[in-house]
Amino acid sequence: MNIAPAIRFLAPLILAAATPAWAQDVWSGRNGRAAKAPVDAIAPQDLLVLLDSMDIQAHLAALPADRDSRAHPLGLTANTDGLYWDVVFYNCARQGPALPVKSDAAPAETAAGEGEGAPLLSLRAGRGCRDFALSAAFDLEFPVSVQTINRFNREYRFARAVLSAEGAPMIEMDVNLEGGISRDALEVEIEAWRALLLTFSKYVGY
Amino acid sequence: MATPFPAWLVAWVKRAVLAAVPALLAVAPAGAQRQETVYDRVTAETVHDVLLLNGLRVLTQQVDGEQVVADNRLAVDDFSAWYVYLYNCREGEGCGDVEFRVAYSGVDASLEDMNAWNARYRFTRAYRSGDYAVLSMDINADGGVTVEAISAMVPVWRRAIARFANSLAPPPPG
Repeated sequence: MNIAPAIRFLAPLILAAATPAWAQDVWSGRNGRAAKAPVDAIAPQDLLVLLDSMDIQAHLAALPADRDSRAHPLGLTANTDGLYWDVVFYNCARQGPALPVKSDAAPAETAAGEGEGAPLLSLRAGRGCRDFALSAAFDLEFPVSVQTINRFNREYRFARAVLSAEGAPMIEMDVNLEGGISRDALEVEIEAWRALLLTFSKYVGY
Repeated sequence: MATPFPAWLVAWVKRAVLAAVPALLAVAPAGAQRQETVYDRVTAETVHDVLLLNGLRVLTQQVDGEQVVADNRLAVDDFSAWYVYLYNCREGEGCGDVEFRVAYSGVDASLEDMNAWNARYRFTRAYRSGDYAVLSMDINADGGVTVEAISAMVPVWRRAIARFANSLAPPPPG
């Protein structure tokens, strides 16, 4: 996992500087009315605030340059129940070089075409990322069959299990915000992911 | 200022435009002030209407949900017939989540093919179930979503099933 130490160190400062106080209230749950207000985009640092309010340890993390050129160059890495997982953001309205990400990172597509010199994402209508992907991979000393992966996909909903080209079992789940979902719904999806991840880890014998 | 139109016509058009302004303001998007309705649970009727608005022909069918899914499903007459199942339903309150599902039988799709799909494409899940190659997509409503959020997933799903159907090779002859 490629976590830039500088980003980890700077994360609290970046959050304080880049996220308006009212936006922090939405994602930290301090504003009761905001929990039901639909939001159609989220920035990495906003999700970090939300995860923190759910007592989930997470850090901002620069995506490896070869990971996915369509993704936002900044993602998250988190830990629940002793299991590490990643968050990758897609369909982002603004992507700017405000964070010390790798200079050779592949440029991500911008929906609005306003990436050059744009400020860090903030929570406003139409800003941030329209969807994000949660994923985790397991490094096992024994093989997992494609039959086991298929059985998981047949039995469980919302996430999908995958066997990587190297034979590592992986689990992925996509969360869409386009159109508008509430903060509560986002929490429900993250809790579902947490449960599915734990179930999958046992399913493959981790 | 003189106009080429009769005065009565100009006055009538002005009145009509002024009368329409409140209605136009009501439907015009107002940026951050726009407030969508958030639904904690969805009903078959809601999803039915969302599909209709997406230009799809939909039929409500009675099924035995066996306490897992609602006792009615939506059958969508698309380029492939696909279905909508509702889960976590409460009597009179609606359901917590929705599944779009399509299943193809008699196709030569291996477990490796299903895995390759899952490795490549987002939002859907492909698997084999008996003789069927199944593609599925789940949408959560628990906690609160807008109708627009459900509607936004319909074209995503339709593109996925078109691609999935094309990826399934017909069974070898004989």
